[in-house]
Amino acid sequence: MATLVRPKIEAILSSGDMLQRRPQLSKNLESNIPGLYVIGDLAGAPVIKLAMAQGFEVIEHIAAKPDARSSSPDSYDLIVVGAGAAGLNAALAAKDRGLRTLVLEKEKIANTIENFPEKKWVYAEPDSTPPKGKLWLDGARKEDLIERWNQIANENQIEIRTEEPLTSLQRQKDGSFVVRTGKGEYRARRIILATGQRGNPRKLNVPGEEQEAIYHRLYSPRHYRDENILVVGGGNSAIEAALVLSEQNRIRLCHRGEDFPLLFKDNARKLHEAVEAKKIELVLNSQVKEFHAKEAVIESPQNGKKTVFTAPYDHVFVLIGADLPVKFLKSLGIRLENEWNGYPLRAAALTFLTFFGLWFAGGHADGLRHVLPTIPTWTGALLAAAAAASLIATGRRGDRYSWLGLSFIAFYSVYGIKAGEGNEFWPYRDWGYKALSFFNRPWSFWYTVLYTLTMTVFGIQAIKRWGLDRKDKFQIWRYISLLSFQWIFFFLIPEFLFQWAVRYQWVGARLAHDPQFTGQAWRAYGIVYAWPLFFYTFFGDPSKIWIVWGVLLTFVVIPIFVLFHGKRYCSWICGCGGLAETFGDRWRHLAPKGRTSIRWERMNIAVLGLAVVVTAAILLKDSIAFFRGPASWGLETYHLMADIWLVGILPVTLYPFLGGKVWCRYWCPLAKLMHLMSGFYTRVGISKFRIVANDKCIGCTECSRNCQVGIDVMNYALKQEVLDNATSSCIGCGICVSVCPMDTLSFGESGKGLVQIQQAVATTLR
Amino acid sequence: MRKHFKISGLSAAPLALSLLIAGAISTAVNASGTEPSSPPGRLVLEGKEVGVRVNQKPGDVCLIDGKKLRPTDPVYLVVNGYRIPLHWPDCYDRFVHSPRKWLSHLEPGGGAFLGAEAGAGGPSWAWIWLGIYVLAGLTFAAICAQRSLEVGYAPAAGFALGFFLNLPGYLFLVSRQRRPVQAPEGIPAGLRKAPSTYSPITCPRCGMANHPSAQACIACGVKLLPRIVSEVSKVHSTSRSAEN
Repeated sequence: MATLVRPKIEAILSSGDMLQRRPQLSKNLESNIPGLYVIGDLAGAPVIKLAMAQGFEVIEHIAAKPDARSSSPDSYDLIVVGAGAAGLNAALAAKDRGLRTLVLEKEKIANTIENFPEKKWVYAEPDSTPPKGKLWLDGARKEDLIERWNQIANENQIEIRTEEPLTSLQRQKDGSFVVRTGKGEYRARRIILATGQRGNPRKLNVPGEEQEAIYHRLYSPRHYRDENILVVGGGNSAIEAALVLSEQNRIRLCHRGEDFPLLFKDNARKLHEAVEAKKIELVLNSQVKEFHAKEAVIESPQNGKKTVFTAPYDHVFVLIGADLPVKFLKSLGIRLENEWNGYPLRAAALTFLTFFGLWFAGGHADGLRHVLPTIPTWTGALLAAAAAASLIATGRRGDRYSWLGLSFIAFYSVYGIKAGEGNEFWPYRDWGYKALSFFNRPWSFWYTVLYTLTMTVFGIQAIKRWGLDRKDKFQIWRYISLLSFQWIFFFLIPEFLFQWAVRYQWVGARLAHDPQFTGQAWRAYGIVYAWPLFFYTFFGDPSKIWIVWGVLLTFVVIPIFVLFHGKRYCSWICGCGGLAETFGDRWRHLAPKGRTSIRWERMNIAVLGLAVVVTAAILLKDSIAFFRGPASWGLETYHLMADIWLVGILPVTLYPFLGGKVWCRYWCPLAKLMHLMSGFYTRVGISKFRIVANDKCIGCTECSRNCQVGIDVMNYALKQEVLDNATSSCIGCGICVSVCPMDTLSFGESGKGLVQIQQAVATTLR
Repeated sequence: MRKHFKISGLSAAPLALSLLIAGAISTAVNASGTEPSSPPGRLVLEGKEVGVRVNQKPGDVCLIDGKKLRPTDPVYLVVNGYRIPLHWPDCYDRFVHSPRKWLSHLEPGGGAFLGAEAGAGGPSWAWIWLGIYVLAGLTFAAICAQRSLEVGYAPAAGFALGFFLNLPGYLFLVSRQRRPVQAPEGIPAGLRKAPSTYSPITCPRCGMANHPSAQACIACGVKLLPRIVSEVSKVHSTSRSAEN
């Protein structure tokens, strides 16, 4: 059973990085092995300039350390593995900082760029970011760029050993490293891995693939003439290769899919033209099974049946992308992001033991003390501490289930205790709430304080990450908006200002003396939270003013807001979304992606439906006796399920594993209501919300990776399709726009952004 | 009836008081020494009235067991405006035994975003001032960061300035002169990179994708109309003109 269930659970939990796996790195790009850093393509740098920036920044970090220099004369301060853009720039920066540095390269300097097609133009994007470090970078032909880099390396006397691949790397007890290559052994205080992953092209893994006429990259397309060429792949590199080769050869393009979802719009057009002109023969839904000396065995459906045929070839280009060199990284002991290693049963047992200890420590384990009367209650606290410490220890050794257990303990406790005094969840029943009610204020108050301060601290970090570091005013103001709404409407007003509004009759004498109004300060949350997120808007003896405002907010204000801003309520206003955008921001890249996760979003239809049914039953129960039972049951169920588990315990527990938007994306009924409204507005053509793309997407996956609601933004950008709420659950946070290194994405009318950019450039050039 | 709630000492949070109602009920019951044969008409806390018995409404169900009330069962209107219907005497006793537990059923206590007992504990100047300070700090921090971006200063420094100094920080930034944008290394001051990217130029003859600044196709050599001036050529031309 466990062997059946575990892979499925792991598939769900790790679906966030399905686009591109990366090593698990700290913000300084240090791996789980102290002293071993990973930069460049391997660390997810989407373009050359940003890879160079990583190389420069990692040296700034290392050079500032007190033990940056090795104490042994036989040891280098630093060995850089890989002489690409990131590695070379790091070596140059290290040289400037006086660090004794060696660069090891398995082939030659800038090998990835060397393998580009001849005369290919190398872009220096993003233009708005100046290059960091000594390595020169500008738009140039690849040959010129490589020549310039060789020249810079020579001028700066960088010690580079080419054609010397790494064979082993070992960390010594003193923290230094021993590096072995085929030609020698070196020691270093620190290591930087900058090998890239383009040198690890993905393979078909079929018999015969190792033959000489089968290539995994295209170097000189114009060297081929009047030949039968088989191209395998459906991405841009395969299509571009097929197109350029088709000018002088007979091309057969073999693709396993039935369409080309990731093609640039321009490439799709050119491919269509080439197929129409019979320059390229498409073989869709096909798979290469084997390569013989001069022919490939291909399986392809014909008339609904799978048939196998052979295709003659002179050359084959298998261009199906590149893989992270997982084996290589694993052999070094480097952990990858979102790896679900460990023992779930052990983590579950330790989690239970922690709760069990807390139960005993709470002094309410009466039945147990009858059996074991001599055991003092403090042993419970000891047991809980020991179990939690074991979870931390196993977590630090790489057991991700242990971190899941710890996260569950933390947030189950926070929200289980908040269920109310006397209603706390086990093991806190009858003592938890009282224990956390400090200074004559209840736990719910301190919870709100904790929530607000957490949002503020992590919100300022997020402002730095997305707003200040990227010089993005949109993100600065978005986070300021989230924090301001939290402080004003979800903390100061309900906790304090409401009292003064009553005491000093700011709300008028009549309301100030109405016990239905004055006694329900918590309804002040309803100033901003609309039904059905604020589920209690219309029942629980509300004052009439709350009912009127609730109707206006839900059925007038929100629909108008959605018309102009889509679901930006979730990313600019809402406190639930606010915690996800701030505290959950560091894990945003782990948001599940793919079709399955999109299907999960249907769960919020069920929650919305339940909210509607329970609200209707409660409103009707006074006049129709039939509804009394269902209303009572429904309220209890909704309260327990949605208000505690789905808003509180589960989503926040899962922040570090599935990103911050678990509640908002899968369960929030208001988000679904707004999605339905925005989708409707879009379909009838009156919505003002959309994200558009120009034609510069390079398919770096940064937008998709950082989308907290798991939208494959890159898929829209590549095809220059409009992203709106008819086709996605976008909440308009704009992170995809901010992270795009090519300025591809923008909010607004289709094409408008591009025109503005062109005008800006024209103005600059004038 | 409202005057019943104008009791000195009730300026503290109503909900906190409502949680003490059980104590009042308990006190009342204990004070009498024996359980009354009919429900009491008033709820008293330390000699002060905090709630009264009111008439039933059609559809009232007991707070404890959720079943319909009998005609003799009481409903209390308590200080926070809640009506508390109870079966007499069993559910009444259960309510008295664990009042906080049952009262918490009336509050939306579990939501991640809700302070279940919002307002409990009353106003506090310290918290208010902290809130005002943080809000003003955040607002001025954003304004100053934006101003810094516009005048060419580091936005993080502007943000910190606004957050800690508020208006004086903003006025300081306003008083600063606009800084020229610093050119990337290797490019003479005054020359800026193009603010955004351009699409490659497709060669009309061979279809090769060329850099937008290309003057000729790298594949077939056909002349192209550059859409943008390469900053490299700008550097060269500037150098030449300087030399000249």
